[in-house]
Amino acid sequence: MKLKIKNPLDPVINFVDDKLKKFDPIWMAENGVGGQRTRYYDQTGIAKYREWRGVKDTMQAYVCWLKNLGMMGLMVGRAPTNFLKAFWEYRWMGSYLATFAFLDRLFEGYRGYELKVACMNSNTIVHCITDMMVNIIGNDRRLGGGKNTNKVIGLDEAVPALFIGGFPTLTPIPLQTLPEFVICDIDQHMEPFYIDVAESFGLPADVCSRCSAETGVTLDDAFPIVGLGAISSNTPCNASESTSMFQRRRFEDMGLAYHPFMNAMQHNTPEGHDYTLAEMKNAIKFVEDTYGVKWDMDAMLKVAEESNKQLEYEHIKWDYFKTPYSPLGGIAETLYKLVEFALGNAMNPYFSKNDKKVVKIMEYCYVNKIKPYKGKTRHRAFLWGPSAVYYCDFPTWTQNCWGLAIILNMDSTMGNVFIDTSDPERAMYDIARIEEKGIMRHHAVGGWDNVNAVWDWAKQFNCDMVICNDNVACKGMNGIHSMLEEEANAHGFRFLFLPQDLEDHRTISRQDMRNTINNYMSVVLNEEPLDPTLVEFDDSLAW
Amino acid sequence: MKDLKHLIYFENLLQEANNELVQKAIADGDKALGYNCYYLPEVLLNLPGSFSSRLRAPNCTSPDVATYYMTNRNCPYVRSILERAIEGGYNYLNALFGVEACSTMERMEEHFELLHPVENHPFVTHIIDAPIKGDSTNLDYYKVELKEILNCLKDLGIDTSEAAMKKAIEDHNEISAIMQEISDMRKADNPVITGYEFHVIQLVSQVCPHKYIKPYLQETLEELRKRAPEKEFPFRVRVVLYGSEVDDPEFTKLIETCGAMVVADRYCFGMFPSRETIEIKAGETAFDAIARHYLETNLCARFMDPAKIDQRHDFLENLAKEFNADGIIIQNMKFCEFWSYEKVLASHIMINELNIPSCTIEKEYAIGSVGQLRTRFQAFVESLEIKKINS
Repeated sequence: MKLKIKNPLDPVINFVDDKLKKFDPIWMAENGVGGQRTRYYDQTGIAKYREWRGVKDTMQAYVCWLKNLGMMGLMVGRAPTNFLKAFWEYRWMGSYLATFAFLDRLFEGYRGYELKVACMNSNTIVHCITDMMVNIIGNDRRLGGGKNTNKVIGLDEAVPALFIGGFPTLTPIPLQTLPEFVICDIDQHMEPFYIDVAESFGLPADVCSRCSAETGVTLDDAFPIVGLGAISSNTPCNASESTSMFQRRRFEDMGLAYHPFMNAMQHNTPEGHDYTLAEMKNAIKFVEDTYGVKWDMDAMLKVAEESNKQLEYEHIKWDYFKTPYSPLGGIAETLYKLVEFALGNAMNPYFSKNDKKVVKIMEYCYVNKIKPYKGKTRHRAFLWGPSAVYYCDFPTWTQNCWGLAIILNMDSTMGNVFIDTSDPERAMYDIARIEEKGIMRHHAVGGWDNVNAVWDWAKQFNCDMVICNDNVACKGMNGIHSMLEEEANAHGFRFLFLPQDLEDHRTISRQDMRNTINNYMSVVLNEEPLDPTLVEFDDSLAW
Repeated sequence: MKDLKHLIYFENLLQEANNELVQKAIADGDKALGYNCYYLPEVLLNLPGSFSSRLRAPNCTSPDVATYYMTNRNCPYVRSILERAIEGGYNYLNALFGVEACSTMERMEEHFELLHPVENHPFVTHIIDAPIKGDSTNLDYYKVELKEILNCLKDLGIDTSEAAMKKAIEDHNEISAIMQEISDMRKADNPVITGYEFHVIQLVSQVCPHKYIKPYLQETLEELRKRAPEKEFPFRVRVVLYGSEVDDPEFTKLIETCGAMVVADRYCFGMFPSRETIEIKAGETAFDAIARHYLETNLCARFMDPAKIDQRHDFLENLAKEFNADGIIIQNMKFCEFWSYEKVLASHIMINELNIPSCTIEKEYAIGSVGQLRTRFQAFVESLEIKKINS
């Protein structure tokens, strides 16, 4: 295949690039005169100027930024009054202003094709999230509601909304995503407030900070009010179940009907699948009764076909991930997959359109043996465990600082089930299996075999290293700590735990997390950083 | 009050899991079946030729090896159980029947398969998934999971027939009737039994083979029927103890030494639930009745459906009324995710919505920080007394 067309301006561009290369942080690091961190104000995540990546790549990144800006402008334009009110109503709303800084940090150091696909994915993510925000803020009863207020159904953020595809007139929205899930990625200082609310109410500090924050949002009455009913779940874990007790009371206060949708905790057995299927049917009945709509199997099958299509693209990507030539990886892959699975739910065709283009670029890079990150990758790591990678742009940092590429993330393996659309009953069964294998659940819950699968995944993707996100409050993963270490040794992988506290940076800071890697790379592997300005820096005030 | 004849004997039986009555039953050829959680019906493990052994790890104060495997950020109860297993304290068991009631418990039970700490033959481990709602869908799933336990029992050569199950239910109901009568004695204004004594009796009924402990319980009941109470109620207030796992009677003793008699116990290993009568309804098999009974009576904090959540709070309210309690002590085992949340919610409902004074605390498995806890309990007792005076 051929993507590249000779540009007559190339000689001019090359000349400018050569003249301005001293502003390129990668060149600066290579020549010992600075690096990525040089352009930041101390302690913050605010850059003094945009990253100079050469003419083409700087333009690429800038156009991507403009597109994101455009989508956000469009979003506000679709419900301007509600958005304005939301800034007054919700403490968390202001944090969304940090989105641009967040997005810029995610892909720093990216060049060429890895930048191109990262930009495409970034635009798709923003497209999906702005759509969701319009659906939520634009229909929020607190803010005056909207024309679809009664056609929106709230689901626990960790529940794959795929099964709502059988209700084409309803729009599923993840309830906690706006005030908690997305915000913690964008602004590290927001969720500690809600965690403090929960703890001041008596909740111990040792519970998972994500669920603690959800509880804080509930107690602070900071959920948007949309729809007629809400569906909670035990996905992914015990703490999620517990937060539902509080949310149920709040939802009922808001006048919403409430239904808990259970998934088998031990989800590798046929009995477990049958149970989840029965529970899913109960949830469907709840929606029918609450909204007065009928389940539409044909509509469901259409969504199922789109889900299959997205999974097919995912498998194609996986094949390229196994090679050293994949321009897609790190946070560009992880965050995209998360948004596609958790927010897109195969109901947003934008993703497969984007995937089609991304896969073409991946093929091109593979055929032409183009290595990403200028071929500076030294190690290939599989990132395992419930993650806290976004707010600290961790995969980007590992790549830029140590040449450590995060090939795939545990949550990117979720929903790995093709739906048999030839038989409606079998299709429902397969959808139930997808429900069971949702966020932070597929491998972290349901028994040791699910966790221990990491070595096969890592081998399959030609990784030499496994990094296990060590959420200090995740009881399930803590419970098999040393078995993982012993298995890593038996399988011959470089292995390290990465302590983190999900949404509470006060317990384990970004620098603490980076130091875990720094220590391992310098002390255990005796390696030198690619960019010394990234080894130790203070970004404690950054969003 | 005069000392109970068997109290010291009972206390000694609680000093280790493999106590003399357990050894006696094993010598008879009975299979020893370990379990941790109420989700696993005790009655199914007391079919003819077998006996249940609810696992405790008495006097385990430093679960170092288990902490290596499970980190120090996990429930000390499960770490202590794993530690005791690694020490060889459960080598008498023929099975561990686990429940994914919480992920920590499940991980601990998995270590029985991964590390093979129990040196006995035969020894099997099986972990069931547990329902999280009380409706018919969840009852069906519960039955499917419990049938897996029956399959394991069959493999161990244990009779799982309808007749055997009916016999086990009879045995359960007999022991429950004894315990119900003893428990109800705590409703009196000046009871003939203390909370500590009840806790000891309740525990031996769960960790010893029924056929050997029942005569002692019956004799103790007779003794209590005739026992004269103190001239005056010896405690300053009456409290319900509510929350997660408590298998150390010293904890109850600690509360009572602060002046609060524990008149009712709703916690794992406590009376509520555990000793309710199992009724076989018309058209039900014994197995169906067992599954229904244990799902209906289960008051675990992990239930998510509104009916079950409300059930446990209504139950607690009724318990406080029925036993004439002045307040409720709500406790959770450190790092217990479910009871951490339930503690917050239950205390809010009790204090703010039902106007029942409550005190919340977090505890270790082995009683530590006694001074801090004592201060909390004393302050709570004083506040209850002041409330009484003011009213």
